[in-house]
Formats: sequence, C-alpha cells, structure tokens
Amino acid sequence: MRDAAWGQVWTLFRYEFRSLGRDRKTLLFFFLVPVLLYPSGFALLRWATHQVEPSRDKAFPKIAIQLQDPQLRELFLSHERFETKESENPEEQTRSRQVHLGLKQKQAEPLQLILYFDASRPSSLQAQETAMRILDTYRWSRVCDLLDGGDRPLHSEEWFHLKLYDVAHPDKTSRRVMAEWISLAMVVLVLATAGFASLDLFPGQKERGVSETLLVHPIAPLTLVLGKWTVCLTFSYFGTALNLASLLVCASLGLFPGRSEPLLLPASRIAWSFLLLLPFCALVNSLLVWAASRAKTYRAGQGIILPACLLMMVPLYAARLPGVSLNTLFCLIPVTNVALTLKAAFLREIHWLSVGLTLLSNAVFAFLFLYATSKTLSLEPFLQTPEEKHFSGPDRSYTERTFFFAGGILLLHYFVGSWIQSRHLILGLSLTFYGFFLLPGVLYAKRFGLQSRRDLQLGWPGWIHLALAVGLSFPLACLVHGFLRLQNLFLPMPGELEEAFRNLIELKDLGAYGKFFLLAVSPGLCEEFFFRGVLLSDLRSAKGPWRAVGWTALLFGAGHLSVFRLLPTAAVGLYLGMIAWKGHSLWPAVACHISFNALLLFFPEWPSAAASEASGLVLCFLASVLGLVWFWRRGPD
Amino acid sequence: MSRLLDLLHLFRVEVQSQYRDRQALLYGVLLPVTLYPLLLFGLMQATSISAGLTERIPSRVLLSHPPSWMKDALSSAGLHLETRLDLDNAGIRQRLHEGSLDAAVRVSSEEEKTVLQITYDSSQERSLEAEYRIVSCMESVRANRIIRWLRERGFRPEDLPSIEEVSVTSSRQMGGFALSLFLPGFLLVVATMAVSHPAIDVTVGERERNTWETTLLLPVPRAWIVASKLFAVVIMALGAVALNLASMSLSIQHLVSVLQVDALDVTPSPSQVLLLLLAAGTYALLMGSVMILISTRASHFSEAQSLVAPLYLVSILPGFLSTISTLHLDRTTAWIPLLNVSLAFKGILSHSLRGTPFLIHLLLSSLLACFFTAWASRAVRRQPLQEGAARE
Amino acid sequence: MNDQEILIQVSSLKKTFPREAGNHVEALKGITFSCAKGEIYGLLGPNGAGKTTALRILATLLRPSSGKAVVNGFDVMKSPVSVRRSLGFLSGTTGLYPRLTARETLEFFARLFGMKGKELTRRVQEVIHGLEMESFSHVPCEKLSTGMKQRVSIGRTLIHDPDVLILDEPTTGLDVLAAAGTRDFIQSAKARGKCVLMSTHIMSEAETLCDRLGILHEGQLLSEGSVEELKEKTGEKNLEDAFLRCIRRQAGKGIPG
Repeated sequence: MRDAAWGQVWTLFRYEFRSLGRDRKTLLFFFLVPVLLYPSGFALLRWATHQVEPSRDKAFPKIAIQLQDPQLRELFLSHERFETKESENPEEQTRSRQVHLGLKQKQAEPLQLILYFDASRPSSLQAQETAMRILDTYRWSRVCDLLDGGDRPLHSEEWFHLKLYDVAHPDKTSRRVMAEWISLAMVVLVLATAGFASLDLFPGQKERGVSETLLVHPIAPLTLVLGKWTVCLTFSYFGTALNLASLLVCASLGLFPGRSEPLLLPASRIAWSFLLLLPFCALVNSLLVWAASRAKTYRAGQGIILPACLLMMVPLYAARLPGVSLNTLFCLIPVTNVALTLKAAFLREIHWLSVGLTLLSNAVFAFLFLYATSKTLSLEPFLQTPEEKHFSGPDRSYTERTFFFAGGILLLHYFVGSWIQSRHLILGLSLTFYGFFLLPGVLYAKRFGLQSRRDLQLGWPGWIHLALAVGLSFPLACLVHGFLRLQNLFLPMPGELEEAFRNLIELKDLGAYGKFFLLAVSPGLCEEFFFRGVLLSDLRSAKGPWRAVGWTALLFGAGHLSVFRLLPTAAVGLYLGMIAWKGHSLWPAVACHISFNALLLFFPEWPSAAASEASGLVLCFLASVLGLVWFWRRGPD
Repeated sequence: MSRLLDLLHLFRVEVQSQYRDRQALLYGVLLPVTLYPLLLFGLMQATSISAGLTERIPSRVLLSHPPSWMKDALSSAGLHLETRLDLDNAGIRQRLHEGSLDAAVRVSSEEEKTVLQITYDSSQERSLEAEYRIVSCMESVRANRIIRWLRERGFRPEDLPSIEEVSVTSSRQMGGFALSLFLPGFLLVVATMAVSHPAIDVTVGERERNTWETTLLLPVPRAWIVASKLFAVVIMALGAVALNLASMSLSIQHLVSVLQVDALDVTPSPSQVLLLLLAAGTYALLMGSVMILISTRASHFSEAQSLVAPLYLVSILPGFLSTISTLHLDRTTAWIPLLNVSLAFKGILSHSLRGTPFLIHLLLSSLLACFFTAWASRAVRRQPLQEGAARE
Repeated sequence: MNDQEILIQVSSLKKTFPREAGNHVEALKGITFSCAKGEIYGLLGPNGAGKTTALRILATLLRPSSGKAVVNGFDVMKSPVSVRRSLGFLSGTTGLYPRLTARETLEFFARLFGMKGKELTRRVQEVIHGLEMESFSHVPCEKLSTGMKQRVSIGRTLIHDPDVLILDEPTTGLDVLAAAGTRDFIQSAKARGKCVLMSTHIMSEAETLCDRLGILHEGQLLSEGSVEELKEKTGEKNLEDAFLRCIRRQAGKGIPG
C-alpha cells in the first residue's frame, strides 16, 4: 500500500507539473521575468542614476559662512574639501538649497557656532559630517586653550585623545554586506515564487472542479497534498534559482547601482546556500499550500497568501538586526533561522549544530502544515457546492464575528490607547480599560443577546471559590516570575523597556488606593469581562471550550502589545480561562486577576523570592494545579 | 443628456456589484486596515528584541598599560577586561578576525598627551558594539572631567565653545521627505493591484458569469459601456488606495508619536491627500484602460491575470527610479508615462510639486487612457457575441 | 434479486448541516434504497431535494450524520478509499485539467488507480476507441467542446472499469447530441452488468433509462419502484403526474419539509 501511495504521489507530481508548466503565466513569471526584467531594470536604473547625477562625485559641497573668528574663517575658506563663500544669511541659503551647509558664528566669547544643514538632502548630511569633524577638532583645541590657561596647566595623564583603528578587511566588510543582501534576496525570491503554484493547485483547481474529481478517486488526502506540494516546491525552488541566477549575472556585469566593479561570488558558496535553502523552500510552500487550501476562490487565496508573505518580512527583518544570531532560540524560528544560516554559509561561518537545528525546525513545521492541509481536504466544507453552502451555515459566522470584534478592539487599543498613554498615562490607562474593554464588551453582549448568567457567567460563585481564587494568585505570580526569568535567558528585555514598565507600576502621581484601583481592580474587572466573559462565551459555542480558552488566552497575551509579555500573559490567561470555564463563574477569575496585579504592585519581592528557589517553583506549580483541579471537580455541571 | 444618465446608471450598477462581493470588502477594506499596523508592530517588536539581545552581548576588551581610572570606568560599563603589558599588533588583529576578542585599547603618550588607541574590527557586530561602548564610556569620563576642571578654574560649562547643529528642514518637510522615499513606489504597486482584479472582473469575469452578452445587448453604445466599467474600476482602485494610504499613514504616525520623534511630522495635509488621490485616480484611469483592453482578449479569468501580470512588474520600476534624490517631476519627466506618476507622488509628499509638470502628467495620463479606452471599445465592438459558442 | 447482487445499499441515511445559533438543516431525513448489479436506479426529485447530497455521501465526499451506506461491500465511513476504488463518479461539478490533453487525462487517472505499462496503454486506447475520442485525444481539454469534455469525463469515470457508476445529473447542460451520447453510455454500462445510480430531474430521461426510481423530496424518499409501479401506486398515466401526486400527497400530510 505504501508503494502505491508513493506511486500516486509521483503520478500527481508528473501530471500536475506538466499541467502547470503549460500555463502561460508560469512561462512568464519563471522565464521571461528574470531573463528580461532584472538586467533591463538594473541597466535602466544605472543609466538614469548616471544621467541625473553626472557630476555628483566631482562636485565639492558648498558652504556659506558668516564668521568673525579669523582662524575659523581661514580654516574653511582654504579647505580643499569645501567650496566656501561668505554670506549674510547662511541659514536662508541652506534652506533655499543654494548651498549644502551654512555656518554662522553667534557669539565670539565663549565661541558659539550654529551649523545649518538640510536633513532631507543626503549631500548636505555628508557635508555636515565632514564639517563637524573639522569643527570638533577646532572646538577641542579651544577647550584645551581654556583649560590650559591660567596657572594650572593640565597634566598629560588627565587629558586624553581617542584614536580609532579599524582592522577590518575591506573585502570581508563588503562580503558581509553582500552576504546579507543575497541571503535576503534568496528568502524574498522564495516567498515571491511560492504563492503562484499553490494558488493554482488549490483554489484554482477548486474553481475548475478538478479538486472534486481528484477527491472521488482512491487517493488519501495526505498523498494528494504531498503530490501537489512537491509540484509547488519544484516550481518555487527552480524559480528562485532562475531569478537568483539572473541577479548574479547582473552583479557580475557590474549593473548594480552604486557598484561600478563586477561582483563575483564563488560558485561553491552559491551551491551550498542553495542546498540550505531547500528546507526553507519546503516550509514556505507547505505554509502557503495550507493557506491556499483554506481559500474558496482564487481571489480569496491571493488575499490570504499576499499578507502571509508580507508578514514573513518581519522575521526576515529581525535576522538583519544587531544581536540576532544563530543561537538555540533563533534556530527554531522560521525565516529568521534560514536568513541567518544563508548569511553564515556565504561567510563560511557555518556551525553544524545550528544548521541541523534549522533544518529540523523547518522540516517539523513543514510536516505540521502538510498534515493540517490534509485535514482541511478531509473536511466537508472544502468542496461545498453552492447548494450545500445554502444548507450549511456558518458556525463560521460566530468565529468571524468574534475575531473581528476582538481584532477591532485590539487595533483601537494599539492606535488610540497606547497613543494616549504615551501622552497621559493615567487617562490612557483608564480609557483603555473602561472605554476599550468594558464598554464595548457590554455593548457587544447586548447586541448579540449574551445572557449574563448563562453566557457571561456573572452568577455568584460562593465565598470559597473567591477565596481560593485569591489564594491562587500567589503561586501564579511566582510561576510567572520564574517564567520571566527563563524567558530572559533567551529573550532579554531591553533596559529602556524595563524602566518603562517600572515607571508604569510606580505611577508617582497616584497614591496607593489610586494605584490599586487603576492597576489592579480596573484591569481585573474590565479585562476579565472582555476576554473571559464576552469572548470566551462567544467562542465556546463555535469552537468548543478548550479551543475557546486557548484563543482567548492568546488574544489576552497579544492585547498587552509586547512580545516580552506575550507568553507569560497568555499563560496567565489560560489559567484564568480554565478557572472561569470550570468554575462556571467569572468572579473567581476577576478576583484572581485583581489579587495577582495587587501582589505585583505592592509586594513584588514575595513572588520574586519564592521563584528564586527551585523548590519554591515546584510548590507553586503544585498549588496551582491542585487549585485548578479543585475548580474542575467542584464546579457544578 | 440621456446618454450621460445611461452612463451614470451603468457606472452605479457596476460599482454596486463590485462592492457587494464579500471578497472585495474583505481584501480591499479589512486587509489594509489590519496589515500595516501588524507589520509595523512586528518590526517594532523585532527591534526591541534586538536591543535587548545587544545589551546582553558581553564585550571582551584587551587593555595595555591601563590607568586605574580607565579600568574602573570600563569595568563599571560592564565590559569584560583582560590586561596585558605587551600587546602584539598582529596577535590582536588575528584575535579580532577570529572573533575571540572584541576590541583592544592601548594607552600611549604622544606629544605629552595621552592617546587611547582603540583597535576593533568593523566587519564584526560584536566588535562594533564594543567600540561603541568604549567610546561612549571614555567620552563620558572626559565630559565629566572637563566639567570638574572648569569648576576648579572658576568656569561654568556654558563658558565652553559650543556648536549647535540645526536642520533647516521643518518636521513637516522631514516627514514628507521620509515618506517620499518609499511611499511613491508603494502607492504605485497598490494602485496597480487595486485596478487589476476589478478590471478583469468587469470584462472576463462577466463573460464567465454569462452577463457579458446581456450587457452588450443594452441599447447603449459600446464605448459608454466600456467607459462606465472603466470608471467603476477607477472608483474601486481609488477606494483601495485611499484605505491603504490611510492605514499606512496612521500606522507610521502612531509609531512616530509613540516613539516621540518630534523631528518627523508624517501627517499628510488635506491638500496633499487630494492631490495624491488625483494622481492615483489618473493612474488608475490609465492602468485600468490598459487592463480592460488586455482583458477583452482573454477567454477566462486566469488567462486574463496572466496577460496583465507584466504590468505589475512594470509598475515596480518607476518606484525605484523615484528614489534617486535628484530626479523630480519637471517638464521633461512629466512626459514619461508611469515615471511621471511616481515622481508626482514624490513631489506631493515632499512639498516640492510644481504646477505645470503636474498638469502635463495629468493630461498625458488622461489622453492615453482615452486612447486605450477607445481601442478597447473597438475591440468589444468587433468581438462577435457568439464567440463563446464558437469556441464550443 | 438476491442480496449478493446488490452493490449499493443505503439504510436510514441522514445528513444534517449545522447553521448558526445551534440550528441545523436536515438535507436527508433517513432514506433507504438499494441498487443491484445490471440495474439503473434513478433518484428523481426537484432542486434541493437531497439527490446530490445522497450521491456525494456514496462517493465519500460527505459523511452521513447517521445511517449506513455500503458500496460494493465497503462501508463509506470505514473504508472510503476502497469505496472510491470500486466506483466511478460523474457530476457537473467534477472538472478536468484544462491543460492536459484527453489522452493524458485518461492516463493520469488510470495511473492513480494503479495501472501501468502495457495494461495502462491498452486500457486507455480501449476507452478512447469506445468513446470515439480518436480525433481529439491529443487536444487540451480547455479547447474541447462541451460534448467532447463530457466524453472525456465519461472516459475518466470508466477508465478503471468500476462495477458501480454514480452519475449526478449527467445530461444537465448538454446539447441534444451530447445528451444522447451520454444516455447511450449509461445503457451500455447497464448492458455490461454495471450497477448505475443516477440522479435526474428530467422526467423523460428517468422514464427511458431507469429500471427503478426513487422519488426524493425535501430529504425524504416518498416512493420507490419501477415506472409502471409508480404510475400504478399513484393512479396516474405518466411519470410526471405520478411524481407531482407523490409530492402533493406528502404536503397534504403536513409532514414538515
């Protein structure tokens, strides 16, 4: 049977490939574009640059000066790197772009100079740099004169100069830059070429009725997915190769703007990089195959795939940032790990363990997406005809409505709430809690008829439940502290952000009661009502309780608008969600949330101390689990 | 007059049917509103992660003959120090290239002044970071020392010579300049994509839905039919461009305000928005007429998509060209189609738009649009209604 | 007709589709019928009766909410792949690869059934010859007329010589010649001992082709039997009137649809 399945995969690959290859668009994208567009585009760009800026390299920057200091005036008038002229109004001449820089002496003693530049003009910025070096040197000499004057000359050891000596190989620097750009280009090309085939083979075939034809044949869904996926992978991989080859030819002909010399890269490194690109190609294609399989039409597929590819630019951008290197954490993050691995391959700095982890990570994710796609193909809505669509309603409408609502609120919070918080913290926080969580939650519940007891679970739980929930906040806080410490090993928070959080908690303008109300009671009440009241009840009917608790936890984590707080907050949200669900009341979750926040506000050292010991963490974990089990068993059915 | 009413009526029906498409609403409205904030938020978070990681990178610094004040200062800045009495330059260079050392500081005397020579490798990220930390630390020490010496001599810090750097560009101009670096290309691509689907849908899409013949049988000249479809396409495209522009602007503005970068004012003025929409509308008119002309030749949707695909790619190039700092919309460039649009966007955003070239570009785009529309009408007139059946 | 000859057995088949707010729609309300070897069974009913739903359950494209459906001895829930191996399914919504030629299409599907080498070549040639496709076997499907496409689809359905054929409104949208060709194919399949289950809303077609009919309306099988039996049961002279009487009778009983 297994041989038969692989035989089917091979058959699917052959015929789908043949069918796709006969598509005019394929020929256009995969052959004509790289062969024609890159060379002609770069040549045109280079020509245009030369035509428009012929004398750029030869001209000296112009500087207008109004100086009384004879030494300084002479310094600039005789400087060989500037075309200097005297002026009555250097500022105006700079503003009107008659000159690149303006230098004015405001005062003779102490010397005060103003250097005018145009930040929107690159040539002005370059000239500014040169001028500042000259002025700095002159300024220091005047400072030294000032300090050396009188009867107390400086001792040599008290005064020092800094001299910088860069030992970088020019070759190595340019290789590093090229490695970054080429690895970036390779990843972008994979993203660009991967979508086309998956769109055609899934929603395109669905529209043409071919999907149904295939599904009435004795092929298992996973076999079908594998067959199509191999086609997508082949097209994407060779499309990338072709595009990259064209780019490298342009580089070797010296067509890149800003480079007059040809750039030649060793074939072995290119070959190595291509080999390392294959798992990434496999992953991206599996992701896009999964996304495309969920689309009903070609247009919908385009609408899903394009944003997915754009969002993948974020981890790609992250790979170029300082501090991000191929360590254990980043080896597991798709897109980032490949960009870093490719860069390392070009620079011959490969560590095989990192490469192995990268390959493994990509393979695992690829498999998961393929498996998810095969599940999608097994679902009835995959092939819904218009007739059946009329019958089947949308339990999807629930989910869509809930997510649109949650997404809209989070967007408001992101745009408006955080902006107001940055201007006026107390007002911003109050608006966020009451204006963006509580009030919309109430309106939504009214609009869609969510009952207070049945849906929002606002019934009274009993004092024992509340007391237990308050008590559970301590072990929860300890666990969160422990989690944050662990997270800090891999994902350290920048000092600026830590300080911002500390300022947020301190809130010097408020007294203790004010802080308790604003930072403990308000979030406890409003966030719980929104997430565990409204969203949880709405999602439960569509997705079932487990998934609903998971989704609300994730949204709760995302709602705190920080990647450093996402996981710990989501974990807290998960716990509170389970309490709310199994406790059949929202109030224990509210009480737990309030006491959790209050603990971190007023007694942060307690959970921190408990979390610093392994035994403390274990005890807290056990306590949390036991508490949850109590809610599980004691909550009425 | 009645013909004009027919045209308006056809146009209204076309726009209505497009906007009733759920997909059009979802991907034309919802997506832009959510995508850009997500993207920018993601980029911000990535930058935070990078900042956190960078702070934690230890810097390994080799010192030769360091005075105690230097050791104390560098140590309190968190650098890992290694002291050697003799420093071999070749050895340092090798260690820097290997990556086992981040920077080396040699203290020497030149003309009775103490010189701190900082050796580093700018091709290594860690070395650059180490150099930055050492320089910051030493400059801070020097600044504090100067203030102390001034006080000892009875001077104040205000008695020191100062250099003030002033940008003559207002925050508005700066914001416009920043936007003009990438927004023209972005708007061009967005407008092209926004035009393509409606343009194909109102021609080939109708044929596939079997409403094409019904439309052609109306007692209205074919040219009016094509014109009404073109205007519907333009409205769709303008709506999408406006939404994308609004979402992108809001996201960038939000980012700038949260980061409190006062030097950048990226809020476009109402007149700028109107001019951008005017330029985008004219571009949509031109591109829409071309795509409608091409689509009339196609027999089904995906074939039409493959035929118009090269136009996406062609629309990318003017965006690149507009990044050349000295390329502006003038009386010469206003005559080059597509490039003139990109440069018009750039001029509007950077507050450097000149009237005559802008009018030339509008006129040229409109004339070309009329030409392509007439050609498309001719193609539609010549197409036999039984074409679909003939292919059977 | 003994049990061994029955290749399709449907028992109390129900299908419910969920709608919002906990509601649902019953597309099939517990239908029972069977189809034997060498027989053409027709499901007759208006649009929305549930014919397509029933056929798609048998083709394993949908899962029944309750009840049982067995095709050629295989349960559709327990052995869907074996079911699909035993049947050939044709409907208006099953499409062809536009850029593959007719021959390539047949070869492709034959390979998916595990055929290869000389057996494959022989069988493809047989089907092409049997359906008179020689003149256009090398033409891409997108360039074929509707009738030619229908022949390719029929070829695809028959390529593995299944014992069971399920046809969902096979002549809808076809011109006179193509429809006649399709009816000929159905009759020849019966002559070769295939079990044919088809759905239709064209009375004349049902009368001409079907050995037995099941009248389906709003998810319920109202009546079953040969054309003569149905006329006799309802006391009508033609099938259309018999069909209408069945429906009106059901409406008169006030049984919710």
